[in-house]
Amino acid sequence: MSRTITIDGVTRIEGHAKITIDLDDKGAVRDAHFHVTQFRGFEKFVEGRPLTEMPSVMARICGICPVSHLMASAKACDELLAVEIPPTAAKLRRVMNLAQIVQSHALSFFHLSSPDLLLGFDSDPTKRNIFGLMKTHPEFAKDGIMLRKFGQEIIALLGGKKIHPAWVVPGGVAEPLTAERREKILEAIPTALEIAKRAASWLASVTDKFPDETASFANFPTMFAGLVTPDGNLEHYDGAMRFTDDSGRPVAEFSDPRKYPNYIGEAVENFSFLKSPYYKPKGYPDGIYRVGPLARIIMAEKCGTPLADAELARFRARLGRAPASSFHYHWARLIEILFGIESLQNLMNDPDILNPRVRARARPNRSEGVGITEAPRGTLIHHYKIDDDGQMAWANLIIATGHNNLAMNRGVKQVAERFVNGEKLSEGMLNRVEAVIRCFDPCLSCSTHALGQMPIHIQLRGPNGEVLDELQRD
Amino acid sequence: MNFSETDIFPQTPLQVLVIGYGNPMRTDDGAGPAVASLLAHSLRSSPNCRCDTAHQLVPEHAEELLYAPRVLFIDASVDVPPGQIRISRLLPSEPSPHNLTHHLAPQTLLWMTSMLFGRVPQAWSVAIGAADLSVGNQLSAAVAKTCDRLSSHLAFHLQRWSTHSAHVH
Repeated sequence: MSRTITIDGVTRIEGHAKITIDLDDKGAVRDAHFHVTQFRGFEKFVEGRPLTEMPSVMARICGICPVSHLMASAKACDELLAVEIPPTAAKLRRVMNLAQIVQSHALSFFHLSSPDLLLGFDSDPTKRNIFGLMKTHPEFAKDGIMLRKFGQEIIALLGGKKIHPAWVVPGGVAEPLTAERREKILEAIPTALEIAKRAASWLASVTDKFPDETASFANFPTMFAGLVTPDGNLEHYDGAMRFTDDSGRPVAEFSDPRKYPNYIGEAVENFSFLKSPYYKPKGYPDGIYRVGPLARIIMAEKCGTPLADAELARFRARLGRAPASSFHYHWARLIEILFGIESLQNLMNDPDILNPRVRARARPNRSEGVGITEAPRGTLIHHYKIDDDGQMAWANLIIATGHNNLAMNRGVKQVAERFVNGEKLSEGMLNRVEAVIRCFDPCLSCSTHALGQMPIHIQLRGPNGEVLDELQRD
Repeated sequence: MNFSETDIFPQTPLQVLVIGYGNPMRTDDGAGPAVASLLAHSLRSSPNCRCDTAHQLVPEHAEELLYAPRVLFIDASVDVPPGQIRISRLLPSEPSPHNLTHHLAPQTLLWMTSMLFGRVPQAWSVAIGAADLSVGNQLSAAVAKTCDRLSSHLAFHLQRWSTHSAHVH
């Protein structure tokens, strides 16, 4: 008798989704799917709007990573204007992008995923959340809040507000950085670094304590993709887009962002509103690849800052150059936090960072532009076409979470095969099926964020739809 | 008392912190930010009083509460008749495990401040009865009038508070 388990909705992720697990007659997992159940329409409703509005409009896609959309959108608009933005503007954009990566990774690790790691995947679900952590591990929870504040305040210092700053514009940024604000940022960096080092050391010390999760949390070979510097190092704002095989060896690379359609195809499945990008030369679905912090540090020869490189060396000494398990996204995230804070320090100490020349002005000079940047969750692509009046005629967005869609679906199936007992459901099983998704830190609604668990309903159904077993978490 | 808990962007110590929160794109849900903005203008020469606006309360606000011994949370409410105001004292309250969603209540925020930093300010809720929560970026006429009256009234008292010191407990 075949059955279907539905987890609706998935908790401690950004946005709304559900998971279904199909069981065969013997109760074994036959298939599993990750469904993104909300619909966005940005590509359509921006049509007819002037291109100058795009960064601010596109930033509204997301309340967690609006800066990523600002960056990708502004870069696409730079292309439409056919301008080279002032070097200081590029550095300031990097500052804001890194600040956002730090705050977003802090949210993912401390607020959303660490309850599983600190309190246990099978612990009481009413306490397995950020509030539970505040009671049992208040210093750890405080570190998370302060690190997130660090990133948010830098964004506000540059852009005037923490969420949806309108400071990144086509051609550069709206205002230069002041010396007073630079000093404030520099003063905050030592404490932020201490928090990041503390978290990375702790995670390194407990990684071996999760062998079952490591073995089954989307643990399979895939390609990886993301931006790299000309030297092949960690990159988040610009550079060439690289695809590697499952060992991290490069297989393709392009510097002209407009060539992305040669490498990336976009499949659509009827069970989800989230597209499934794939590496076009290998076809669908064999062209599965992963993006985001784990992919980036696997592809990078090195990070390029001392503390992050030391942590990367520890990571590789323990796990090898290209660990297949998505469980290690957590550690990769902390390496990137270290890199982000160190890079912010370097940028703040760059004498050119206070240069007032931060914007190039031009009228539209091209009809098509593509901007690619690295969001916290992975590579983000904005592709625009405009008409002769500079109004949007067409847009295509490939969101970071989308690149990981195939891997998330396969990961859900793998973890379900390992943990789901078709005879009897348990909350710990349910939590692990969700936790594999949390490793990827997907951003689905892109405009809300969860503090802890959301209402959840899981059902075991018979072939005729009858409910055989049921769990409810309000 | 040392208000500076960490070296990450410590704030200037205050006597009063006002947080007006809500969604200004949902008509009267923007009442909290509207009153906070009016107060910020009225109290611009009172350095001991800061008026912030927020779309919603977030965990980072727990640290913000350290910098003032008195905090006012101003929000729109459907539990108060439209155009009316209800002011009530707030105490820290541990969140229910069954209510851990996007919404963060001020009582929970006070509880977080207490748990993480070991002290908590005196706090009040100022609830403004909402008449219309549909999509729109302007307050309804009745609520706009209430916000004007409320901000004038609060400005007078906050001005006094900002010159009288109090302590975080």
